[in-house]
Amino acid sequence: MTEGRLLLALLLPWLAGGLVLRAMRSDRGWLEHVAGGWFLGQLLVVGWLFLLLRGGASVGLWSAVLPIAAAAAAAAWWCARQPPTTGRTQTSLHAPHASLAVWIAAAVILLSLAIKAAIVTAAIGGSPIRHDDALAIWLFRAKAIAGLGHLPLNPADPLYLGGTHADYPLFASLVPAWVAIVAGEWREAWVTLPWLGFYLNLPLMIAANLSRWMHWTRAGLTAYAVASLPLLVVHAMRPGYADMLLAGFLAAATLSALDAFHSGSARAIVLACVFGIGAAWMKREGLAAFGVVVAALMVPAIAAAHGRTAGLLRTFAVGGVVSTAAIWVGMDLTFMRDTFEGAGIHGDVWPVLGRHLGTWGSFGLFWYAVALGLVWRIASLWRHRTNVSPAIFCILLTAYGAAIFLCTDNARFAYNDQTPSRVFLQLSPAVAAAIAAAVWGRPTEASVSSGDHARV
Amino acid sequence: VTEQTRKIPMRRVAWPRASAALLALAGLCVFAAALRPFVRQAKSAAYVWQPAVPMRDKPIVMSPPVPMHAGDFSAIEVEAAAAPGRGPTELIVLWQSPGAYGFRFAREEVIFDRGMQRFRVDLTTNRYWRGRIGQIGIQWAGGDGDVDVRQLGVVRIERSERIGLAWRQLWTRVPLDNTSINYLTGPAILGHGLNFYVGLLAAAAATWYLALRSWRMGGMAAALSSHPSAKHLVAFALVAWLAVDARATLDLAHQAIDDLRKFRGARHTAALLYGDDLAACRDMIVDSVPLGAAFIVLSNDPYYPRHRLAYLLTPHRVCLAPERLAETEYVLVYDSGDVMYDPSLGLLRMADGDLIRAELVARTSEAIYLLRLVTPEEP
Repeated sequence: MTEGRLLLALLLPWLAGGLVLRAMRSDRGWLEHVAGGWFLGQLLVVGWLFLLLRGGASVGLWSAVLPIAAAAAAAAWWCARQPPTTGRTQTSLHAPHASLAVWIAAAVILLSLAIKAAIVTAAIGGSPIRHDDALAIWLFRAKAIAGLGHLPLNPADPLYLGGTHADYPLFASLVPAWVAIVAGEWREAWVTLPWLGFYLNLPLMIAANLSRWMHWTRAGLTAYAVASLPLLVVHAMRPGYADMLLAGFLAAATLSALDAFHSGSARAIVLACVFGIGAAWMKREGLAAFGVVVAALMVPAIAAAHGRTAGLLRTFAVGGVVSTAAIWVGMDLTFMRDTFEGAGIHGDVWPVLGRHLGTWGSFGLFWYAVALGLVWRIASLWRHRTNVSPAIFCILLTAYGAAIFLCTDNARFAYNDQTPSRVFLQLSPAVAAAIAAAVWGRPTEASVSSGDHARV
Repeated sequence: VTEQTRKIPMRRVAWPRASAALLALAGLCVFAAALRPFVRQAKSAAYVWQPAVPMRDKPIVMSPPVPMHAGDFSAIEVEAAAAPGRGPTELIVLWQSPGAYGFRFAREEVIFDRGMQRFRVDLTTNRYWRGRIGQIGIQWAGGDGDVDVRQLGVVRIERSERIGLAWRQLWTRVPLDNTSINYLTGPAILGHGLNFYVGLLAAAAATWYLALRSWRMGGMAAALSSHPSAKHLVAFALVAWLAVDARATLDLAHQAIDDLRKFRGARHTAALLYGDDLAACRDMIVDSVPLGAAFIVLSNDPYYPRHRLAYLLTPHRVCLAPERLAETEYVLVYDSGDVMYDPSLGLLRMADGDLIRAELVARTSEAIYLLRLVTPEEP
């Protein structure tokens, strides 16, 4: 019985997210719906739980599950009403033409990914939680909320807002709390299974989205680059931290914003806002990262969409208002004041950042590849006057990660090597998607219509 | 393409050919940089430092600046003497990179059983023994006698042993520890990380490939803009990436297997994970503290026991911060040097000297016990 409830806890949000995504973008392939559906489903769940808990309600199986099930049913009904789409852009992960070498490389990569998935699954299923922040913050609050069935809202209560770090967003803790509430008990191997879901669906989402704009081998390589980041695998096999969750939502927001570039679609703008809210909700660093997505990708996408600018602007304005409201309600923003008050230049942090990004093994050769990609893209500007927004986005997002330590008193977390790699882990999947789009992406619709030409 | 190239007049071909040759030379330099750690030899036999003062009372003593590269030295060596049976039981060697704020360290158990002795702490498999080293130092732990240090030095890696050592370091497992959720270092190979070697070798291979293509196609621009060139360069990068990935995955697989063995069928994972003491504390609190009640933990370690017990017992029993003593009835003393309980008087002496009436509820060892604070109304 409880195993059945565990399956319900894992599959219902996934199904709901996938169906909602399909209802919004029925012209997309099934893989995009499956992978993106995981992220949208988790967002539905934590959003609903947050509304219930902040409203002072108690949460039980039915009050948690029924609205999500209703959302899934409504989305399914909506999908069924839609006429079949003739011009569906299927995800082309079946390669029509590839050499033997490519197939061998693909087999090696798939084997490598399968081994990693097996490692993560075995580690989640067979060993308990141990790392400090997981026990002291994220899973502690989840266990408290799931055990109590409500969120203490009285500041005098020792378990106020989950009992620890009340200024941190609650949402990452609601991911495991949902599993415990629906499954009916707290088991570490169960409540951390969503981390496996994030780890598996993140590269799938990247591959599925990018393969609409580039050859499947390049999309696959980008997805493999993300899935093989050593620190990402550690965060999956030692679950409980919010960094990978934020990384997933930020990558989803980035891919949707890139989609807005290519398709000029208002729905892509909406999805980018929704996933951006998810990034901000997971961890405070996600807020400014979402701001970079807006400034470097969404605004230029709207500006470049000739003929549809007014419609996109309206969508963007509504999305902006909704995002602001969601962030305002869901987050304690006092940290921004502290951040600005602690602003200053800490130039001696550079060597530390270099160690985390390049010398140590957290990211393998990832940041070297990003640097080479950027150099390549900038060097080829004179030949291909395509849109440079994805490249600028990569630079800005990386600069943001560095600025956290170089320009604020968070430098202390660099001196003790505590957080630089984790912050850049949050940004890496989004950077990977954008650098792939910058180097390998086809020309944007806007650039074609404005007479630009590019390498396809 | 070759035919076309042949038709180009000599003057126009000369520069592309020269650029290809320069590119090949650059590749050679990159390749040499990757191989240099295998053939280099430290000029000095060893940096040896003799402390000017006898090291009594076991202080931390750091050397003056000793600029060197970790890849040149394999161990830190200490010559010291202490009274047999009374000397320190542990030697901690420390080192610091130039400009770094913290120290890295390695521990070695020592036994003083004769006069002046030489202790060597091997650092060849220490993942933090890499890059430039600015200072080294030592600290002693355990024992109750003094120790006199004659000298402190480092042991040079000879050229003949470098390849074998690098091979061993490459395959030395780097287990996951408490810092691994924050960053992964990977193995330290002759003072460098794996990225250094794989990245440079891939760059050298790519540069030579480009040089060859440039030579054949009459220029680097033509080589770079040809589709096969770009594809093959990506292939070089992919091979390098796969190599680094395979090495990292190997460590993770070993770790997962170890974890599965360790926790398979564990009846009491808390004991395995947190240690027997903390697991016993959890059981003691579950047995003695009523549901919904709060407790505080007083310990020398302000974080670890409190965080672990709070997580294990939430939400049915709440662990408060020690400052909120007045709000709770139960106090867990967990290896605290600041407080002392006298069972005969029923008094708990706090760190600030305050005396609080308390009764012993349960005890797991001399240093770990649970108290209930007695209210003034109680007799």
